Amino acid sequence: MNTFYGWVGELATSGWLPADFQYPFLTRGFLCVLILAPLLGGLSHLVVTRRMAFFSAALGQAALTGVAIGLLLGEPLNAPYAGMFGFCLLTTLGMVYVKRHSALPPDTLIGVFHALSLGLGLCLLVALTRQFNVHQVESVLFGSLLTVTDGDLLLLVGVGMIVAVLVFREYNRLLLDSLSPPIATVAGAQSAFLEYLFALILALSIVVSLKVIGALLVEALVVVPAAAARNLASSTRSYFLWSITVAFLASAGGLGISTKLLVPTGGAVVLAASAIFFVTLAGSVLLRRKQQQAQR
Amino acid sequence: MTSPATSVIRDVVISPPSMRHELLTVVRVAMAITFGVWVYLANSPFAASGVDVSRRTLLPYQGFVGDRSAEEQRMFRELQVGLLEAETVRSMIGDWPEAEAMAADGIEPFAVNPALKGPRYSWRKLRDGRFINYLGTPAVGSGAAWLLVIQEPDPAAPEPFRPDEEHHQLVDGSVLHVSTWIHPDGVATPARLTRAPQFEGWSQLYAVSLPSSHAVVPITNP
Repeated sequence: MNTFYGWVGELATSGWLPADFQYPFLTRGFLCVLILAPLLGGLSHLVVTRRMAFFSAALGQAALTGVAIGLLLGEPLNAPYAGMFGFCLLTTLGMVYVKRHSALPPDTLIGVFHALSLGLGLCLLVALTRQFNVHQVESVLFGSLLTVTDGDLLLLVGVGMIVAVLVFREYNRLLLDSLSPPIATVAGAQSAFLEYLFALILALSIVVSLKVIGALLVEALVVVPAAAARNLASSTRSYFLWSITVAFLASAGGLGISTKLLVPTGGAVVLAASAIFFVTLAGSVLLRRKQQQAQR
Repeated sequence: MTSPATSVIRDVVISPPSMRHELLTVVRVAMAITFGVWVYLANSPFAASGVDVSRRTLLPYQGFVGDRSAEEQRMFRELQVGLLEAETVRSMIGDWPEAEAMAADGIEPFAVNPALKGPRYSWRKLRDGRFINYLGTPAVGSGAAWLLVIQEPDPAAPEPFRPDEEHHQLVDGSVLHVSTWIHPDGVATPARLTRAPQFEGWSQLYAVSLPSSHAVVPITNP
């Protein structure tokens, strides 16, 4: 990879690329964005259609607790993957199972899990600050390009490919199940299996995005792109493509903002995504008014 | 009127999946995940017993000077001594000394030691508000660049002193944030002040361990 970074650095110094690309961490971050945008953007519209925005928020908080558990189990600050993957996947299974079999409304149950994982995470973080400098932990919680390594990039590629294959195989059934589980079941889809599968896919995608976006903000990139795309899209296909486009623009824009203003990458990406959402919202309102006026 | 193809009505009985079967499957998957985590942790070089604790606190742009070459270790040591001299001057006259003044006083590495081999450095002091940089770049040819970053205390937000590598104290009791950085390509290093060197390709060096400072103190009931 060093050869590649060197080559990109040369392009940056000779003016073919922005000067910031002379630093390998930025090139690595941009490569992450190129994978994260289709990964999270692609899942984003299914998350919104399946009404799993709050579920994603709870998973983000679970990831925070997972980081703390991983570090307390002796993992390095830069790669607490066992804790993150383990706790997030187990929490996902627990949430889906309880949601499916409880008489309580789903948002109430997810709220319970959300509060539980956040409370546990905060207690563990206090224990953690006896071993770690809290500034170091912050970079994992809020996302920082500086913490992304080649190993993280490879993991992102690997998980991205697995998620892409699974979603490609099950996309029609997932979409149908999102719109109407009874019709999906009549059409031969196993609704329970799809619910667990999508939740686990989402958990995997959230965990591998943490280094760039941060544990506390990752759910925003799972929800906001689809919300913005909804303002622009006229069909399922365009909804899907717009979600990816918005996720890419938000991630790349956030990357630029965080590098220029020295703010956490996660916060910058979420700000960029939110800005795009409000621009598309205003645009769609204006367009609708124009259409109404034309009809009169 | 409907066509023959659409007029076919079929009954599909949707029976809910067995709750017991679902629970068993979920438990099996959970056990598989737990087993995978256990195997990963068991093979991790960072043992849970706490071996090599200091190393697992490092971020990718941080490192220990003990892992660097003898020449870089010497430069790091000299910079620590030079920093203490600069802090003494700052305590006495209220301003940070120029690099040239420290060179004239014979303080290494600002003063050239003719007995030593390796690249000669050109040092300069850069200041912007509460941030002070001592930047050393190779005077001739290639080599690593060195940087001391000092952050003076904010009078509006005083903080308690913690004796570690990143905090120093002046005679008047004010607390400084200090850090030592190295850049592999000293020739390409721009001669301007930096507040966050990690965003410009610098690596931070520690002598022994990272400070566990700024820890959140748990609020407990009396």
